[in-house]
Amino acid sequence: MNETTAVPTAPSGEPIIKIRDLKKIYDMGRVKVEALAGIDLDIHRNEFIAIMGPSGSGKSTLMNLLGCLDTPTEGNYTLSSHEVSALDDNELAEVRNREIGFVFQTFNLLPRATSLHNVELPLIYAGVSGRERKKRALEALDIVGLAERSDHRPNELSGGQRQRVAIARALVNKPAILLADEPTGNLDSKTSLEVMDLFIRLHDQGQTVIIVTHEPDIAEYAHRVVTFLDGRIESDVRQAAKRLDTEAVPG
Amino acid sequence: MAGPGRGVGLAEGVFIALDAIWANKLRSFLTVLGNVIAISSIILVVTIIQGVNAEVTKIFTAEGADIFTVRRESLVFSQEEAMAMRSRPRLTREDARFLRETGTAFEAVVESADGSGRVEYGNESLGGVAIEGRSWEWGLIDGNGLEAGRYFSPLETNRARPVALIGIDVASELFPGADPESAIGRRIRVHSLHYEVVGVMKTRGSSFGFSRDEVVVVPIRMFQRMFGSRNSLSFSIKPRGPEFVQPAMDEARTLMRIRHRLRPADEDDFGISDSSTFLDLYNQFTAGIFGALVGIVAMALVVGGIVIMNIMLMVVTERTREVGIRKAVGATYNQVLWQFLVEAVTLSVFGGAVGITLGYLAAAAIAAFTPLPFVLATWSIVAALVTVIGVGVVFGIYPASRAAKLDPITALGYE
Ligand SMILES: Nc1ncnc2c1ncn2[C@@H]1O[C@H](COP(=O)(O)OP(=O)(O)OP(=O)(O)O)[C@@H](O)[C@H]1O
Ligand SMILES: [Mg+2]
Repeated sequence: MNETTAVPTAPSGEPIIKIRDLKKIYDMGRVKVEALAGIDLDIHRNEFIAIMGPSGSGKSTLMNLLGCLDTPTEGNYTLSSHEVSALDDNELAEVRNREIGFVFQTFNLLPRATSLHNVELPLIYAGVSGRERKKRALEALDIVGLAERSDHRPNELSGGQRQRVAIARALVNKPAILLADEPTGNLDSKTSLEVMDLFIRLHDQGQTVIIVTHEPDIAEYAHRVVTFLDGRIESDVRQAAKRLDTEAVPG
Repeated sequence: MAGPGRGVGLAEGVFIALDAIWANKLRSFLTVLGNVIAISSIILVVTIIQGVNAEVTKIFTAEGADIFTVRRESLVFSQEEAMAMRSRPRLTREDARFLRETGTAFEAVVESADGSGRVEYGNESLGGVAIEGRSWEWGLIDGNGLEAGRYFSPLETNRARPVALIGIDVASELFPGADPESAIGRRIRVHSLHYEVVGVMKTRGSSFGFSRDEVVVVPIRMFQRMFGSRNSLSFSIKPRGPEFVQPAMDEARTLMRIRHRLRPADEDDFGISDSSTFLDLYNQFTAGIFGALVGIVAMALVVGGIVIMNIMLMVVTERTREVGIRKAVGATYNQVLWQFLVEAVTLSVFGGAVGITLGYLAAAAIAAFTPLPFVLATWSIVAALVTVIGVGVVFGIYPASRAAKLDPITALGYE
């Protein structure tokens, strides 16, 4: 049986993410594509947000900006009270490394490296050395239930397992926000539920989670759904999140 | 060393590179062929020259480092000069006496002349033996020493007594199975004259594979009796002490000019040289070979470096997505640059290592099949490694910076 929690009220206090009039315009020569047409958004600690909207509405563009993988054309983005839009490439790399965990639709694991090594990767660039690195990577793999697969390569894992390795990698540096752009987009419905269960558990433990999804039944697990249309926020609603029947899902 | 700004460490970078080299063995080998050729030829040529050096130095310094020589001939570099020398006066025993009586900086003046001939004892006969005529002072400056017996006395030199010292090889050929001691007192024939053996010399070793112990030394007056006294003598002179080498050479020159009644404007009509004269000349010659080698090697390395650069550009393209992933999880420009630079250097050093091995094997083979000794210069290996590291850095920096500059979103979208 699924249970639901009560509709939450908007959290108060300083938001962890503050976006003001954020624009991303792709200059394609003759035409200018306004992927983000100036949006405002506040996200607080430990929110669980689903971002929805039709294809081409600007969801991935926003995620890439939030994840510091890309820089905005205009506007402000404050992450943990740092103004991110003013940072140079090296500083952005450091923010990606320490503040952000990014989960991609296509997993983006290093194909020739083991699960352990893939999860260690952010720690390598954080300068964590040797034994400590391995210990923390194994802990992260344990959280996603794949500790015993640490020496497997991606082609020896199922799609759901690969995505869980990618989530472990996103978690390993204890990021302030966890971003996932259609994390279940390449998975069947059963493995999608496994992955969602993981996000729910992480959120329960205090993680701030932002997920892009096309599927309404995935969005049901979030406490807040932000819907995009043509580069603008069309709606932003809080909802009572659906709970998974935890016993039905393998850990 | 963890590299600039940490990130992928040196060991791991090398490991990634070796893994890639192993995965594309043939391509990797072809990539580094330029390095292989360049480095193996360095090692090979350096090893050969070192071997020749060791032999040549042995010959030129055999008499002793501070001993110098006065000859009728001097070092010449043209046919005309060589022709002009034929009218020079011979060096004679009177010249030697003059040097001994007037010189102040000399400890010993040895008259010498060299020839070759047959040596016989009973039924044993040995042809082509080096015959060295020496005055008794030779016993004073010979650093080699005797196995048995003694050197000539002054009297034996001046009165032309038929006494001889023989090399250890001559002893063992003429008196098979006998020990050196028992050779003393035996009567042998040298160039058809009878001699009494008074000494057996210690081994002088070999050079370029030829024994230097097939030799008989006789008093210079006996030598002149056998070979005639029309040929010029030469004088080996030992200065009073090592610090007198230059004064002694100057004095020898002055005395010889007086003796030959040369006017100040006249050039010397004799030559004076010490061991360094020939070594210097020889070193100039090998420096020339090295110079040519450096040119060829530099060209091979540039070609090799360009190939490495192209392959690294290809590697970066192949692994664009990997770079995207690394940047997405926080790799900085310098960290990505470092990783690909380590990879280029590893590739280059791999070529260098193959080159060192091949060069080493070739040199060892030459040493095995020729009389040249095998002298592997450590510095040549160090120089080779430094060079290939340099090539890797110089030609790896551009591909590495291409990788480091990749934009994460674009790189992640790359198929
Ligand atoms: N690199 C780019 N160059 C030019 N236009 C781009 C680029 N990236 C995105 N766009 C455009 O920006 C708009 C928003 O794209 P975005 O990828 O954010 O949409 P999305 O909401 O994630 O769509 P989907 O649900 O299909 O993933 C689209 O019109 C897209 O064509
Ligand atoms: Mg998208």
